[in-house]
Amino acid sequence: MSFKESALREPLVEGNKSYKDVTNDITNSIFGTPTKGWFVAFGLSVALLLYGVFCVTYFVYYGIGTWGSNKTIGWAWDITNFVWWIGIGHAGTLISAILLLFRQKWRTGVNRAAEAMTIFAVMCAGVFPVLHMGRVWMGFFILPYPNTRGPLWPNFVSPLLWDVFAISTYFSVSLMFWYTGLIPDIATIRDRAKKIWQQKFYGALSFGWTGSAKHWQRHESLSLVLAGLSTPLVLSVHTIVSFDFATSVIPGWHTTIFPPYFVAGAVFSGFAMVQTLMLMTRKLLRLEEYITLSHIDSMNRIITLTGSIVGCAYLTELFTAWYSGALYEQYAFMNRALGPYWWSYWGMMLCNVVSPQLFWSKKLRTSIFWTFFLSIVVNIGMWFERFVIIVTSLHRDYLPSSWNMFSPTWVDIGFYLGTFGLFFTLYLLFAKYFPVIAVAEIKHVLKTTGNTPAREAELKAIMDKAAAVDAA
Amino acid sequence: MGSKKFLLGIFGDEDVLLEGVPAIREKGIKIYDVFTPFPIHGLDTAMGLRESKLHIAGFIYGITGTSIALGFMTWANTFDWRVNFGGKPFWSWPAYIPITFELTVLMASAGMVATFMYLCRLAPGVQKHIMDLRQTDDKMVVAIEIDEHTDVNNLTSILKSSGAEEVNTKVIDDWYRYKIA
Amino acid sequence: MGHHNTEVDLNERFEFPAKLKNIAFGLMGVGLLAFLAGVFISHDSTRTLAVMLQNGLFFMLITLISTFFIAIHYMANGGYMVALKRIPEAISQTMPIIALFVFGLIAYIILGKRNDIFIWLNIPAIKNAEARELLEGKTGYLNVPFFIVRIIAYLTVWSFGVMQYRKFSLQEDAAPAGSMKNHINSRLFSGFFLVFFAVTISTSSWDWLMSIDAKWYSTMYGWYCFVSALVSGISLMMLVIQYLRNQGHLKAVTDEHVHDLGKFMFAFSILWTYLWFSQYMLIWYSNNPEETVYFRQRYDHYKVLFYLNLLMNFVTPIFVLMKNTSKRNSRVLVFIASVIIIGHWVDYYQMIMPGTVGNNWHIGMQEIGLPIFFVGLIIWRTFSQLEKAPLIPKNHPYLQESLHHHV
Repeated sequence: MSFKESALREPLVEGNKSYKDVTNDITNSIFGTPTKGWFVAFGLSVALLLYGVFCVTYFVYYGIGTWGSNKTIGWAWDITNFVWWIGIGHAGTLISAILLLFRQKWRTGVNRAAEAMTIFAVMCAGVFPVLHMGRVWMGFFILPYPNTRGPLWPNFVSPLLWDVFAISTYFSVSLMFWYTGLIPDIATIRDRAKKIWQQKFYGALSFGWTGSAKHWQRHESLSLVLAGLSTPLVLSVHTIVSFDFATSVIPGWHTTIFPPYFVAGAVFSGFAMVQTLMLMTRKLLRLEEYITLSHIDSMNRIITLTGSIVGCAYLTELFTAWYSGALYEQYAFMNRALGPYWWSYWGMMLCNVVSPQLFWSKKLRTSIFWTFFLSIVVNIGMWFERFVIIVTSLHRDYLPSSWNMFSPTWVDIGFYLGTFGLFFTLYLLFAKYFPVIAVAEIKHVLKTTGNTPAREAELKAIMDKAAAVDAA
Repeated sequence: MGSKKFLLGIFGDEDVLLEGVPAIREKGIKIYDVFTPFPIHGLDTAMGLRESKLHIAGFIYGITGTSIALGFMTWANTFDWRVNFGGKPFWSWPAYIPITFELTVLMASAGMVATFMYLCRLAPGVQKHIMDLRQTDDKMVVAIEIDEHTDVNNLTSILKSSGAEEVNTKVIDDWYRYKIA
Repeated sequence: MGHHNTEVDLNERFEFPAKLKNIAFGLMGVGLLAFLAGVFISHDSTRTLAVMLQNGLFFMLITLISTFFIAIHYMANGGYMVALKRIPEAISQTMPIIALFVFGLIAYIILGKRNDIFIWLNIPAIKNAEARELLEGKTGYLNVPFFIVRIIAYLTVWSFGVMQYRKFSLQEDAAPAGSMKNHINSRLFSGFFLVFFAVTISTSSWDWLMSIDAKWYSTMYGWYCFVSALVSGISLMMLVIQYLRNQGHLKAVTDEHVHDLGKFMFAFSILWTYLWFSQYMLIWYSNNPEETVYFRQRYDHYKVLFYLNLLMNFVTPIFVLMKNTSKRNSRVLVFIASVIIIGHWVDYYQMIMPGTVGNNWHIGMQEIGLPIFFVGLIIWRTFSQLEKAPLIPKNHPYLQESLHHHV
């Protein structure tokens, strides 16, 4: 007996699809040769990636001195980018885990791509702290392995070590969650593949999935528990990132609201990135019937919600800085708003607090152009937020003689661009060779959420009746 | 082992399948397995499968992770090599919570995924017999194992009357080997 | 599976049983007597005011959560909870009554310049010059006129929201089948209400709770207090639902709905623990004297409550509700919901007392009597409101979804 969904709800799959249509629509692009557009995009991404590799090689050879960071502003561009990328990753886990808990069915259209985005974003994030170590070949020192120095263990009390555990756990669990979900869909591709290499390739990656009832039962149980575990995990990751700052005694960093506010900000920026990617993906792969305006609308609502939470947190911080009566705290916030980096503060306020409020209008929420535009604005805003937190808090030291300014060098910029190259290279490969939409999950909800002529007729009947009754 | 023979009832709709499976079982017929392209809620109870106990395994793995993390950090910081970090006590439990939590989640997840893979015999490169290629696309396949004593005609009509759109026979010669059909 | 809704009666009504009514009045009477006796025995007006503040705020906020629950479901287009919508509706009707009590109480404290409750009411009386100077810096926010304007704004708008949702809901019942007007109005109203709620739930806890320890501050405080009320408010709904189901009512609310509410209790308990830990750990880690003083006092002088807080609000709910079967077991749920409500009552107690009665605290007749009175009040008000309308909002457009809700 199926769940009865109200016809009032906007359908999640348009076009009266059958199961076979779902399979074909989503997997067809995998079997064809890539389009010209894909090759252009891929070429650009790889070029960016190579430039990034060049910059990284350059500064690993010459040292961190090639960055714009200085004695006062020891953390600048790199940690800003690290936090920014990590934040972007959070949307994927939120969609697959937390929205599952809240029974938001629209997640099925976007979860697969968002999870992939999570994994790639975490990879981009991870390279920043690792390379900031300077001598990257000594990177394994952070792991608690029995060593010849005592053994001297890493400092378990340091938030930076918590980060090591948090990021690696987050990466591993997201990868496992994503891949176990992908296995049945890879099996679907395997059984449709015509070319030998495709049969071999997808055959190996499908792990021998057959779709047995018992396997599905275990698969469901596994997915539920992984979702349950990922929910606190995603909270913990950005929380621990916020601990890097909040455990300190730097004015503007030490504030107890940081953990939840960082998480909200992460989800906020992550959804913006999902929007950017999804709007491009649905257009390029012609998946408009699966990633509908209703999906875009729902994601924009989350952007408004999390943007408002972030806005509340900004104001809370600002208020409490004044309310605390602590001189340094008050100065830090004055300096953010009116100091030499005022433009980044007001840029952050404009992009993160004001711009998502535009989505109260249903017209803008369902407009492709505005969604795309604001998703970019939000991501710029969230980059500014991390820059504001990190650089403006550090550049005015307790000792005025140490006051300093930060400006990035070409190496800083090249490194950041390189991570874009890495991200888009991986995403384009994924979008070409793997199903960007969870095929089995769409089929699972197709009967209840797919649009049919009967459903449209039912909706019309309800609306007509309501109009007639309410007019009377 | 050697050769095995199956009768396959092909279904096209999950609601028909959910009513058909108990109907077939009521006739005393043992269903070998049902293959579906997507999870169907209620199919496991309809087939009389035991509930999955995977989550219990996950709990045990998780607790193991908790104990390892807490135990190790306690041992390292209070017995093996004491270091004064910022005047905090050697045993600074609030500072151990993040790593403990992460290790709990990591071990629970990795352990469960490994257990799942083992139980379902899934691994990179494994190839298994596929009853019908459409079982990963749009059809649900009810497989019933048969031999020379089975009344195939009767079984076919039972499958058809339970809602199967078509009924096929499938012979697998090299059953002991995993291989794509 | 989904076959257990065959016997649903869409016009089902609830009748307030005389026995339960007597229990409600009994609790109110006994509670009030115990409270008054405690007041006369202790002869300590600071303690009495603090106890009244704690109970008034706690019970007002947990009944207000019901309205928040309704609002958020409208906003998110939630369908599956429709079958139990009348329960939060009825519970929330208690909120305006308690709001009157809270308003009277705080007005008395403010106008009486009771600086034993809010130290900032009488700054010149503070002996320590540094503390005096610090609090003088806060008078832009902590001053009597502004404080009164704020409390009036919070309580009126919240109460208005509580009554407005009820009004829309009853109008929907009366409207001809198929009408969408009230549904659409409820949705529009939710946008306004939730924005106001999101801001004021933080600021109100700064006003009424954080300003007791006027020198201390924590940016997370507002969200922490909110989540504490949130999880207790959902537990309160769970208790009412369990009562109705055990009485044979509310067939439309199945194990699946209950399971979902149980998940909320579980998830929000984790969220509360997360916020508690983040606040505690950051203050512990940075070790700034002006911040650690808050936990120092609680740890040194309220040690039992410090641990009880964690035991009741973290350990018990998490470990019991982790199992899926316990989220469907009536007895377990009633037990855990009670533990959570009492646990967060303790949480509010340890927020308020150290800054008012100081280190010398007791749980006596008045501390126990007043909550008993409020429990009686909530029972009486909730069930007499439930009686006034059918148990199922039969014209809600998403009702069918809720009736066919299963995992």
